[in-house]
Amino acid sequence: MLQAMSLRKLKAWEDAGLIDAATHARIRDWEAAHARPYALRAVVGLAVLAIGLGIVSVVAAHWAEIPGEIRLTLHFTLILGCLAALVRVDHDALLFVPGVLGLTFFGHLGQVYQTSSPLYVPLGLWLLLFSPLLLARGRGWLIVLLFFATLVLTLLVYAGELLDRADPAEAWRTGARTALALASPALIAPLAAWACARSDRPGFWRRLARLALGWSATLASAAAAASLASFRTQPDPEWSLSLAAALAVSTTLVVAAAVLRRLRSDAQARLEPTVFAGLAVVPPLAWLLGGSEVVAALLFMGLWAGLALAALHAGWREAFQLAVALIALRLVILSFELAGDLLTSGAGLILSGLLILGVVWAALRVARRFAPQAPGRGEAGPG
Amino acid sequence: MNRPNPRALLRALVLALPLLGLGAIWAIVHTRAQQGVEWDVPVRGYDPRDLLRGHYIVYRYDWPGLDAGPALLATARGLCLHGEPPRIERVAILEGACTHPVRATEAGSGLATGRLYVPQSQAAPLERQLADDSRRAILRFRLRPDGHLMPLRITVEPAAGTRSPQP
Repeated sequence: MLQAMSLRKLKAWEDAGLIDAATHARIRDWEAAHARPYALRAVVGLAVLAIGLGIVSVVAAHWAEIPGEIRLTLHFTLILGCLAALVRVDHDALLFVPGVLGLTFFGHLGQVYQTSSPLYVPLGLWLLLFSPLLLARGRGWLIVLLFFATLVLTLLVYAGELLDRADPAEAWRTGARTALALASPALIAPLAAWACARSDRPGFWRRLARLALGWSATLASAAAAASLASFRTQPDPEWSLSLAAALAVSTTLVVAAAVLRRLRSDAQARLEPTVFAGLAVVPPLAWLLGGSEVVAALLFMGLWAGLALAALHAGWREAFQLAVALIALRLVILSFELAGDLLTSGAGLILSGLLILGVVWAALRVARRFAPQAPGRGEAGPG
Repeated sequence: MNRPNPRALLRALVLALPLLGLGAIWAIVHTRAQQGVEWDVPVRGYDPRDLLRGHYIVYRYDWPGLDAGPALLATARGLCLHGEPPRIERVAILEGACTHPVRATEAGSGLATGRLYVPQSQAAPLERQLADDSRRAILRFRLRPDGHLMPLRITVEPAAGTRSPQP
């Protein structure tokens, strides 16, 4: 049913001659036919939520009295139930819920049996057990993010552990292993490109490819940001560790680019391997040239200017605007790095304020004027 | 011809994998939890609240006969228990052969401190008892043959030597 306000608007439009009486009636009929019982749904949803919260709090209140094995059996049965439902139904929620329940199952096991292990072990086991299911059945952002975020978290925890236990004598190996672990999600991009051509869910794989690209750009940006320091001139553990890390990230990105290049031969799809190859250049360059504020800023801005260009080419509006915003931000940061003492005088403060305004104004103009239109929202992107 | 469709088979396999995997891990953890012998060790502790996981007791071991500071314990590979289970006579830093070794876990030191999940109804009284100097807390733990230490429960008893005077 149309709400009173919409009805009033329709009447006003009809009176103003914008629509005729027939159109008015047609709109009303269409809205009546397509009405959704929001109120009813909200009430049912509220009731379901209340029952769910009630069950959770009853279980929580008697947590101690329930033997561990029974609790685990309950937990396991919930996962089983969701997966059994997936035999007939295809829905992301039915993937997300058992996925999260599977993650918490490891914590629950640890609680019942009083065991502990490094965090990356349960996370890695979860990835091993659940990612085939998520990748085979997932559709929307919910599942893409659940998979990719867990993957990145696992690798970050693992990399942290590697660095914690690093032996200074094996700096090369530590650097290479840590960087390979962190860069490996880039290889999802060729996997996604391969699957995209064969799957009945191309949207899912395109989203995954975007995240892989986003993570690779993040790594390259981190390398550019790290080039404030000159690792080239540092003594040994840092020297070899940083060089090994830069080369390992670069190699992984080159491999991703090469496989992408082989997989996709059409002209438009050349862009994606080019972007990955471009990203691969940044870490070694950062290592070689690092050591000054100007170099660090130029590398960062160059990297994102390249990405902005690629986004322009691919017609990916949001990526272009993000790139412009990041370049503007880096420019502002650079101005403070170069003239930090500006902030100590009144005239300096005015000057830096004007500078920020100027940069923001220019960035907004560029982002609005030159940004490509988003064709068919949400499905644009490189490739 | 009644051959299973490979795609359908794969679909079923992908669905079954999490269940089989989680079930197998559970079975392994359960089996391991039954192994080893039980020991007693005095502990001191406190009770921070952790809303997500309910209550647990974080404690510090008072290893009998061990003159090692926290720094040494943090770097040690493990400890060697001497005595007849469940009574520990003395403890030494693990070097070479040992009948009852406790090995440091990779997650942290695990030799100086540990934690035990306790039921919500017991957490508060246990915390009070642990703070009481006239009593001492004993942790019963299971030591697996591979040197993994699994805390089981904490009991509190009057400290040896100090007869608590009647008020």
